[in-house]
Parts: sequence; C-alpha cells; structure tokens
Amino acid sequence: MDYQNRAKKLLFFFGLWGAVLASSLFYYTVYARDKYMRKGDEISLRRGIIPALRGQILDKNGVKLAWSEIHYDLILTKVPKFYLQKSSLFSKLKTLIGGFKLKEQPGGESLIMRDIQPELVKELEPLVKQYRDLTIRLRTERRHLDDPAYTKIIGDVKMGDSGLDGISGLEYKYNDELKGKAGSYVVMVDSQQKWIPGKWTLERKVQPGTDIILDKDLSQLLESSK
Amino acid sequence: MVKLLALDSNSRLITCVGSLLLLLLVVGAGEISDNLQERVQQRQLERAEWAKVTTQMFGHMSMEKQTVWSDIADENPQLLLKACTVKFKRIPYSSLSN
Repeated sequence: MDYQNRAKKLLFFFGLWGAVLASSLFYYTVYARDKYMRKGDEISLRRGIIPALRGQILDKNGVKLAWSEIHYDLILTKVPKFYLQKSSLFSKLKTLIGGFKLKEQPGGESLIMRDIQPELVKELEPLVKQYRDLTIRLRTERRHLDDPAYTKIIGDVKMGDSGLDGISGLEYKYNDELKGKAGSYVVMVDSQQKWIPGKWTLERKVQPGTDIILDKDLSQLLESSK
Repeated sequence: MVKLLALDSNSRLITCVGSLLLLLLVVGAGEISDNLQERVQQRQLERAEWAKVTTQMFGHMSMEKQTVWSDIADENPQLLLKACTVKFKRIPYSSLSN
C-alpha cells in the first residue's frame, strides 16, 4: 500500500514536471516566439548605408565642370591594446606596404595609408579579415574644373549624413538631381562582426546622382555670371 | 524475391528494415546535396549583388581604371562593399518588423 502511494506521488511529481516543461516550451516557441526572434535580430542584424555617387556637371559641349573621384584609404579604427597583437599587425603591414606612420583622424581612428592601389587591396584582404579594427574605407573627393574663374560659378560641397551636399553655386542649385539616393542593406553578423553567408539582403537600391548638362558653354557661363 | 521469400520471418524483417534504412540514407543524402547546391548558388548570387552595388561607385573613373577596379570588386566584393558603407549600425528593436 505504501509502495502504491509512493508510486502515485512520484507519478504526480513527474506529471507536474512534464506539464511545467511543456508549458514553458509552448511559451517560448509559440506565445513569445516573435518577441524573442526580434530580440535575436536586434543583436545580430546590422544596417549598412551605401552612399550614391554624386552626378557630374558638364557644359553643353560635354566639358566636365565638376565630378567625383573615389579613393580607398587604409584605416585602423582602434590600435590593438595587447603588445603582441599590435606588433604582429604592424610587422605584417610593414611587409605589405613598407614603412608607415599612423596619422590621428577625428573619432579616434588612425590613417595608415591614403589612396591604396587595386593590387594592394587584393593583398590586404586576408589581413583585413584577420584584424577586425583594420579596415579599408572609401573616400569621395569632389573635383572641379581647374580654373579659378569658374570656382564661384560651380560652387562647393560639404560632407553630409549620407554623401556630399552642394552648399553654393551650381552644386547647390542642382543638388537634388546631383545627389542621388543612398542605398541600404541588412546583414546578419556573428559575435566577431563577420557577415553570415546567405544572410544579406538589399533593402534599398542605390540611385546614383544624375549628370547635369548645362545649356551654356564655358565662355557663356562666365559671361552670364558677370 | 524468391530467395527473400525462402528466408524465415526474422531474416525477412531484418532485410526489410535494412533496405528501408538504406533508402532513407539515400533520400537524406540527396536532400543534403540539394541544400548545399542551393547555398552555393545563393552565395554566388550574393557576391554578384555586392559586386554590382560596389561598381556603381566607379562611374566617373576612366574606362581603364573602371576595368581594374571592377575586377577587384568581382574578386573581393564583400571587402569593397564594406569599404563603401558609411554607416553600419544595429537596427533598433522598435524598427524591426514582427
């Protein structure tokens, strides 16, 4: 009799345990699923903004008045804390690019090399993959016709939130057309911030800025500005 | 078939279960290989998309330079796309869709 009572108690205990397990399983997999999925996404998803290439300004004969040039720079976002890691990175860099001197940049970053050439990009790839703080970054420079007489007419630009913005002259007048629209993507990253294959989606396509062809040639432009 | 029927019931059962397991193995292997192919295809598409996004930045370059940089973009699309990215941030919880 005592044996039967103990067996019943044990069965009841196991039943209760099973019910608790089943209900928590139901809670996480059905009831609160979306909440935890979103929390997971918040930890692992990143959004990247890709700036649009600013359009060119040309006169009616096709002479370029303003255009954009892109360059790639080698940047160290954070100098490694540990001596061994730092010396290993610096010696590898020295082998690849020769002697270099870190130049402090705004935001605590350091510039290693400006305007890296395509062949070097290939050679730097394994190093950039290995060291998270080493990065290649695009720099856009706005170039204008090399004649001081046109400087004021063409105007100037400054770096905005998602690309260059015209602040004076033709650059300002046609800013909306020239600017284009920045694109964006979403990617899932792991704890090392590496992109997880198959988890990249283009959210918004980049729309490069439109080229502006003026209805005047260079001399007419100069005359009309007087 | 005649040989199988000639066996006793236990041996027939073992043979049938064995054949069934083998069949499941073959089906499973097929599924895995299909999945792998799909993943490889998806990665190739992804790389092509990265290269496409990156090459739009080369629009104002001379044709010669464009070709060189486009080759680099084809070989290392992720590296160049990361280089082009101006902001790379977490997506706030509130803006994530359900």
